[in-house]
Amino acid sequence: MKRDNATMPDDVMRGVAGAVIIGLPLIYTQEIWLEGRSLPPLGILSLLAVSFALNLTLSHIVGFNSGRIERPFEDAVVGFGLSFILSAGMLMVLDRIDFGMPIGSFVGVVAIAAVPSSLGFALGNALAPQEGGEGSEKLESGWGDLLAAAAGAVILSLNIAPTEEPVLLAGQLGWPRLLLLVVLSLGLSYLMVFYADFGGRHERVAHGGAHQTPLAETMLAYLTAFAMAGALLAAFGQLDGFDGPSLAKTTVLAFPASMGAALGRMLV
Amino acid sequence: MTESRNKGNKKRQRTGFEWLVLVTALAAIIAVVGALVYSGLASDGQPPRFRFKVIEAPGAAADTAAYEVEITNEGDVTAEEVLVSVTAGQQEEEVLLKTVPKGESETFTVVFPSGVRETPVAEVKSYKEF
Repeated sequence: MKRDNATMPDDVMRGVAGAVIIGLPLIYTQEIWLEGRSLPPLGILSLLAVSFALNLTLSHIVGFNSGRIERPFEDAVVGFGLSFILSAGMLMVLDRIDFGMPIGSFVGVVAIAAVPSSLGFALGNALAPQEGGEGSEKLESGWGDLLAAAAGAVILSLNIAPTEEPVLLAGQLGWPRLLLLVVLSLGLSYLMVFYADFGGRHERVAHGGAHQTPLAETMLAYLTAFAMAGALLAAFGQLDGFDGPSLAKTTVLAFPASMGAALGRMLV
Repeated sequence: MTESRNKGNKKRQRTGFEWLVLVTALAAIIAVVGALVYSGLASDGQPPRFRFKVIEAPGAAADTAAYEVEITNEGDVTAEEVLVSVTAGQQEEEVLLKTVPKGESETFTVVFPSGVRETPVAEVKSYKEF
C-alpha cells in the first residue's frame, strides 16, 4: 500500500531501470574505464557537482517516483548515491574495477560511469512510466511482448555491437563472470518488468497463456535478447561461428540487450 | 489544492524504506567524494615514473627465452603510447603499450628468439602524458 507519495521499492526499481538503460552503453565503453582512472580527482569532482545539479533539476521535473516532486533534493541524493552502487556493481561484474586498484582509480571509474546512470535514475518515471508507453494497449500480450522485447534489445545493443568492447570483454571474462552476467540479466529484467509494477501488467499476466507467467516471460525475453545480440554481432562480423568465443561475445552483449528487452516490455 | 497536498507531504514522516535508501545513498556519496578528495590531496601531480619487474616466463619453446615484464606507473599522471624496450645482451625487443594508468601496473611478455644468458633490462623509450 502506497502511503502519500512515499518512495516504495517499485519506485526505486523504476529509477534503477532508467539508470541501467542510460548508463549501460557507457559502462561498456573503454574510454570511460580509462578516463575514470586518469582524470584528476578535481576534474571528476567538478563533473559530479554539475551532474548533481542536473539531477536536482530532473528530480524536480520528472524524478523516479510517480507523482512525487516535492522532495527533489532527497530524490536527487537517493538517485545519485544508488547510481554509484549500481555502477560499481556492474563494473565489478565486468571485471573493470577491483579492490586491488588504487583507491583514486577505483572511485574515479565508478564516479564517471555513475554520471549518466544517475541522470537515467532521475528520468526513471519518464523512461519507464508506471502507466506504460503511449499506444501500449494496442499491442497484444504474448507475442506482442516478445516483439517489444526484440525491438528494445536491438535499440540498446545496436550502439555496442559494432564496437571493440564485446570482443575485449568476452576475451577477458572467465565463465564464472559470464554466468553471473546471465543471472544478472535475468534477475534485473525480472525486477524491472514485474517488480516495478507497470500499468496494466497485472491484468495482462492474469489473462495471458502459460508463457505469460513472469518466469516464463523473463526467460523467453532473455532468449529473444540473446538471439538479437547474436544476430547483431554476426551482422557486424564479430562472430566466427558456433564456438566458445562467439558464445562469450553474445553473452556479453546479451546483458545490455536484455535490459533493452525489459525496457521494450515495460513500455507495452 | 496541489500546493496544500505538497505542503502536507513535506511534513510527512519518512518511512523505514525511505530512511534505508537515503542513508545508503548518502553513505555511497560520502565514500566516493571522500575518496576523490583524499586521492586529490595525496597526489602532487608528479609526471609518470616507471618501475619494472622482469621474471622468466615458463613454457618458452626450445632455444628461445620468454620473460614476463611488469611495468608500474608510480607517478600521478597516466602515460599513453608507452614504448618499452627490453634488452638482453645484443637482443632487443620493443613493445608499445596503449596506456599505463597512474598508480597501476601492466604486464606483457617478450620472447627472445635465441636464448639469453643474463636477465633482460627494461626501460621506457618514450611516452605521452594523458
